[in-house]
Amino acid sequence: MKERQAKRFSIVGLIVLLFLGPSILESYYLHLAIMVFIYVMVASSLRTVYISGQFSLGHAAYMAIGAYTSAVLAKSLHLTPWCTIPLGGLAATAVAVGIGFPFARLRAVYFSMASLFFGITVTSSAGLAPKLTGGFTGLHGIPRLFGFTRTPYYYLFLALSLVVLLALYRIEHSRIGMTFKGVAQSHLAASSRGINEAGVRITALAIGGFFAGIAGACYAHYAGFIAPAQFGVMTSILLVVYLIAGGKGGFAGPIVGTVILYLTPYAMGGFQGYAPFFQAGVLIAVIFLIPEGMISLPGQIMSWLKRGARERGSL
Amino acid sequence: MVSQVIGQIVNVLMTSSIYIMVALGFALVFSVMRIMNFAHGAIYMIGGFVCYYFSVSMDLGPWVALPLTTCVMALFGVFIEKFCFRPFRRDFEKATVMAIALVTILKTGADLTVGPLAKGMPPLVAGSINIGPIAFGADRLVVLFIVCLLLTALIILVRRTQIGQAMLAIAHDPEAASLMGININRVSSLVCAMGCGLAGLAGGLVGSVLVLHVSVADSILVRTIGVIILSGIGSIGGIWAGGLAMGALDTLGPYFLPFVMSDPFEFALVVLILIIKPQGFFGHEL
Amino acid sequence: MRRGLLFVALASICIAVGLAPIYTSAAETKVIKIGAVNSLTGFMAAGESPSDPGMKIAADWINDKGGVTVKGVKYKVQLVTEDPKSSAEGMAAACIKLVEKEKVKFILGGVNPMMNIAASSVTEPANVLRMASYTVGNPDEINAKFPLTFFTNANMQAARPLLTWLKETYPQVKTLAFPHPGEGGGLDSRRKNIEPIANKLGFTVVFSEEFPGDMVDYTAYVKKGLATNPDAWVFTDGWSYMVAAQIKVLRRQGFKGPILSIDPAIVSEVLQLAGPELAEGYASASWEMFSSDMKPVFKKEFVARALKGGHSNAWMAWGFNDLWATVQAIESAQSLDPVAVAKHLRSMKKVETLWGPAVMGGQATFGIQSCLCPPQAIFVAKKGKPEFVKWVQTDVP
Repeated sequence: MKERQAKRFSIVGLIVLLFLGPSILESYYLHLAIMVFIYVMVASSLRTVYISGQFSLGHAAYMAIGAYTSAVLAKSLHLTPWCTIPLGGLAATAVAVGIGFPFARLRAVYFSMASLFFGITVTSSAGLAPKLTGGFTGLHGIPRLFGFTRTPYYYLFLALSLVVLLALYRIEHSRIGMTFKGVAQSHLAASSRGINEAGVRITALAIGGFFAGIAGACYAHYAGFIAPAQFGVMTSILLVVYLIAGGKGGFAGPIVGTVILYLTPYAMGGFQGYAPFFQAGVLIAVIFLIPEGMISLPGQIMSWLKRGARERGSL
Repeated sequence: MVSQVIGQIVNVLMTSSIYIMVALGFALVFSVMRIMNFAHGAIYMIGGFVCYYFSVSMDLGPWVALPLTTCVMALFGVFIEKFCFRPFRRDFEKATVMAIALVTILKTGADLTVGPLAKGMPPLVAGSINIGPIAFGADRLVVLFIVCLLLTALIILVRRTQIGQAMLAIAHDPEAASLMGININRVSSLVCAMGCGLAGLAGGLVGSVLVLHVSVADSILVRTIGVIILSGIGSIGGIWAGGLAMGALDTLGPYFLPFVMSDPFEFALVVLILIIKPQGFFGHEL
Repeated sequence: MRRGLLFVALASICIAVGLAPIYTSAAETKVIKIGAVNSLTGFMAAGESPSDPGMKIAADWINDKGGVTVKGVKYKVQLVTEDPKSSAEGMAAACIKLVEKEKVKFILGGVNPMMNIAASSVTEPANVLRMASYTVGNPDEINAKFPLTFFTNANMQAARPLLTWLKETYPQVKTLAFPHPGEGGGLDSRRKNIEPIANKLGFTVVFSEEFPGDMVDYTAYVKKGLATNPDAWVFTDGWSYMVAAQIKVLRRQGFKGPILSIDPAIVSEVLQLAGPELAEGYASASWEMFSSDMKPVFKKEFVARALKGGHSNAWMAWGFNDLWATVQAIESAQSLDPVAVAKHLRSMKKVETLWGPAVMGGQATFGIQSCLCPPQAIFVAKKGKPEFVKWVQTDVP
């Protein structure tokens, strides 16, 4: 009980700290924070898909669908981004459901390969209607949500990610979330309980796709510019890295993974070129030494300390 | 009209031979060890540069450099099997993540050392071959020839030798195989060595036919995975079919559509085939 | 309780470490900070990373001469480098950092249209002058909405002089193929910009399809182009390794016509990649690091300093020119205000470059005069070596 209270206390403390962001951080750091908020949302939405047993290597495609749908609608039909962003999310959901149906039959390896190629198909489709989407060079002149000052975006993304994270958390810990995990465990056991495995997997994919689409759409109306390369295989793989390195066992996994791994290159200053080594190193450390990811680190350190104290007879 | 058709067939053969060569190594590792070696493209690219080093920088010429490169990359394969893949043999997720870490390290290392430079290597065999209106470089024929040799050798290895049978057994059911006394470590080591050696050889060969550049690692990986999907998991002999299919798609698609539009259709087609027939042409159910 | 505290402590440390850079402050000397956004990693690194040492060489040279003098005050040039990592997002982040954290007013570099657009999306609203290295002529990159963005090279700049040379040297050539890497945007910018120039010289463009930038084997593409019967194969864009790869295929397919590149795919590079026999006759309007026909400033200030620093990549020249042109514009305008400098630069009659005096261009094509058009030298690959033909003045109408 005390532990849970402590956790809540620290989370609330963190949120308060974040709300003070614009008063203590410079504009550039607010930008980094916004990018982190966006990727935290997408990585967490990937987790929703992951816990249903689907190891997706093409999740960034949903960001792309959300971003492009919203951007193209806003730019061509002159609709306000506040309308088009939800539409972007819905478009991503629609595609997820459409793709989810045939993909639901695929097991493990096959699903991963299919999702990888699905992602590649989506990004390479940018060249199909270039006048509309700007092709591979990208789409610019996207109407922004609030002009050019950074602070309103910061608060928007902070609030949005809190809402999204809360929603995803509740979903994971609800009955639906239980069925996700059940299907991941064993599809035989799940079907013996009358759970429609395909339906569950599609639902997970749809939810994950929806929030990724929303995040992508919001990004489009923040940056004012998007290009297909931003949502390609590299990004999808990075999302998987954030998830696994952060820890696949806990909800905070992708959050921690994103924060640490996204920000590291920016903290490395002149050695930015070596940042991928650090990320690879973290990955290797995680899969060899800390299988449960970085979020289990504090716990492991604690029990290691406790064990040391016990052995020294002080406990 | 006939010469046009023959011309297109020749095109498809040429392009497919490259894809088949690269996909062979990937397929071996994937089928036997069930590991999607994302680093395969990077190993291919590094093999190309290693071959350049032997062939041009040390002036040994391509015919000496190629076997040398194959050996070097095969040794590298043994190394990564032992330290990177062996611990995660049963765990597809962890193995994939490990492969991602590996490819990150390799590509970043290449970026920082070789850097953005492209390199050209002298062709194996100079000159072109002209049969009527159909023309192609002589070195492409050599590539085709080597690929056929390799394919045949591999099929013989898998069907007729003990080691090959062991590989098949592990591919089908690793636990049963080890119960039957097959030394999985040794066979895996060999398979990974072969896979990386083949990748390195392909890099050197194709590097001399096309051009050598750090960015080839990505483009070849996509095509390779496509070939694997088409020919099917667990199939090694069937790579020729997947490779031909991929080569045909790449060659004939642009015939009807502008190039930048044929890519998404190709990929969508691969996804479709994966949905309809996950085993591909020749694979078996996992 | 302890685990929670540990969690908070860990989080605070991370935040503190992340904020660490803002605790340090730069010493106050009379410097002018100029930002540089050249990709040092990723797929654009091939084209952009050499600009970095090029800019540094120029900065050293300018500082040795006394720096930049504005209204009687001397400023040393201090380059602040950020790596956009070959992505639009990275470019936006790099520009935001330079503009908001480092407070620079001038940013150099940029080759890829996607990244150029991303950069201008940040720099224009912030009133920062951007001197990019290269434009493919995409109207989304260069237009009247980006008055503070300039380009020291445009791929179409050598079209008229090089095609004129083609006409004189190979009078039997009537039809052209215009290969170039994919661009998207629904605008075949190269064809749109360069075809009229070709037509005026009496050529017909029969093939202008783009190839995917990550193409592995060009055989199918080349065959498709050859089926349209071009007399000459003229690259309107493309890196040296793409040019070399296609040359290999073209010659092996039996194509005997001239192969040129309007975009400066340097002859010695193509020779190294494709080999002396296959590359024989290949020509481009570019420059050569070790040619005696280069201008004195190129040889003395650029090559000599480069070699001393251990660099020999010819593409550093782009970075050098970016900085030099910017400094000239600042001194000519006698102002550090980017808007004033931009306005002044636009009307300058000539801007010195490593290849000689450049003229401003682009009004008719893009609706804004933002292109610096330097002279270039036509080189032809002869017997395995680049042979100098002549200097030509490039232009963008």
